[in-house]
Amino acid sequence: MSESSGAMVAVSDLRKTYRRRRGQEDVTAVDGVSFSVRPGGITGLLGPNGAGKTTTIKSICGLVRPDSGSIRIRGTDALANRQLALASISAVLEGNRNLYWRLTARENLVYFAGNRGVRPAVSLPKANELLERLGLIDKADEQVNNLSRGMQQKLAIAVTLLADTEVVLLDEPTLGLDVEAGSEVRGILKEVAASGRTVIISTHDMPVVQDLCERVVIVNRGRVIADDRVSSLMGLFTTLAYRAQLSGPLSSVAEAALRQHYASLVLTDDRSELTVTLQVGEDLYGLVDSLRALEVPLAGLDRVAVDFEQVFRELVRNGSTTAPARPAKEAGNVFVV
Amino acid sequence: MSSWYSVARVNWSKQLIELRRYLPDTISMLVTFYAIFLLLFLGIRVVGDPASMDENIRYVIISNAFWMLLLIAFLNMAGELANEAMRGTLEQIYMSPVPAWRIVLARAVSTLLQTLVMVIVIIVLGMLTSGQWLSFSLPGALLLAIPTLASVLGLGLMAAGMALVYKQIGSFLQIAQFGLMALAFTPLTAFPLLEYLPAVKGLDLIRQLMMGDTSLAMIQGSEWLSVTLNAIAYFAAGLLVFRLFERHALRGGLLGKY
Repeated sequence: MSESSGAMVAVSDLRKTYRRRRGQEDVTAVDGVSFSVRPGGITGLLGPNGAGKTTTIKSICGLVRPDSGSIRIRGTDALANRQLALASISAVLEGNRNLYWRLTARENLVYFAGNRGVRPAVSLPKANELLERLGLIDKADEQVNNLSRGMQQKLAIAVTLLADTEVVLLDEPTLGLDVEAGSEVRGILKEVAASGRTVIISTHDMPVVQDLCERVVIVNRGRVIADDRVSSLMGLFTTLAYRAQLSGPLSSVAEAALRQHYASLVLTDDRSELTVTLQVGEDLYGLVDSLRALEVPLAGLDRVAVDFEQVFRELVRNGSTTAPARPAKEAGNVFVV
Repeated sequence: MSSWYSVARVNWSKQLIELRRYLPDTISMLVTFYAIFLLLFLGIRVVGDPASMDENIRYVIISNAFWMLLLIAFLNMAGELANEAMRGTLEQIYMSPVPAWRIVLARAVSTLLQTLVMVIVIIVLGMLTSGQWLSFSLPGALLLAIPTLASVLGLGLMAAGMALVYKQIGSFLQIAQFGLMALAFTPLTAFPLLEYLPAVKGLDLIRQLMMGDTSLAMIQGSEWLSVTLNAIAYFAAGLLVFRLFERHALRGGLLGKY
């Protein structure tokens, strides 16, 4: 990307190798990662386990010093001016240990704000306001170890919001949360992004990515393999696959006839649903005509939707968006089984 | 300046809250130090020289109480950082735009000030138990305690740096307690070269002051200079060592590991 000037976060050619003790191999965690994040919106930083995501995140947060490369936050060189850059970023790291368990929710908020140089007289009213907004005011004087996992996560997010930084980074924000708490956290993150802050999330939860992120940066084996809008990546892997629901089982004769035209046909075990991926030159009318001619008892027909999890898996498997193994639109089905 | 105030204020509050919420720990610390005093007191009564018994008991009352302060000055920062690493909050501390050493130092100073109350209790209990009374020149003792404890805070910063990298340094810290005991109890008159070690000269002056052997006005300029330079040297060395370990921890990505 060439928009690194004016970017809120710009990472350039980041490299990090962890030196191991004698007899153990060094581990290259990040091998030339570059990307930039524009102000505002939610960007996903994704990758399989061991891809280099955590090292990248921790480098941005000033918790790991890279071997080479540069990180700029709001134009500030984060490696040369770590403390100054940290004034613009706050983060919720993975796990539920971002808080002091023996302090209450309100005490945690005031404490972390104070460590960022905000006086309690200033932070306390804001803390109360945040607790109210996030539905935690009833638990304000409860010690954190008595709060549920979802409440702890909301409180950890509140700590970052009270820091009032331009960039908010969240590592696995919905991990371990039940459906309701996960949904609440997603709602909060949308609000945060709507307020104009730049949110970067790292997650394995692909529905969260699909729901929240406008853009994703995918890293694998220490390198960026995709950096694009979610909609563009989804479009790249869109297929012309259709699923037909039948009101009775498909006969063997009809199946054989269909297979002559549609080699990609996949039938469920109970023969009540079939999936066909159209190739270049084929269209949906032709498929409907064939089904009618064979007197297939059609109950419904819909297009197979591609979800981001499939896109992610395919990108990681193929290595890059710049050189996909098969151009999806031409080759037809990539995902449907 | 504002960040110094905010950091000091919230860390004072945090330490005070935890002191209250971990009250059994606080009380057991008080009991332990009183028990140590009792052992030393009985030892002097049983095998000590009767001619210098009163003086020795007063010496022990003061040294034991200040040993408690030296331990806190030395152990607090390393202990706090190791605990933070174990609890997972260390990385949050390191994401603050305020340098981490300032945060842990603010905690250590807060704890020291809060422990002063316990130290006074230990001294009073020691006096009541032994029937020996000290001339309590609290302002003078506190004035000398500042550089005395600053030098040990320097050692504490070194230990805290080690804790950042090695985390489980509990055994080392336990052994180091005996070294601090030596610093607190060894008389400077017997080993004059100990003046160059942290806290020894300062404690010697505090003892003289509290035992009525000298007054604040009688302390010579050269003695103040020695105590002050000692404090500056050890504190600066401590900060330097802490920053070196910190750099190593950041390069190795060790902050989040325990």
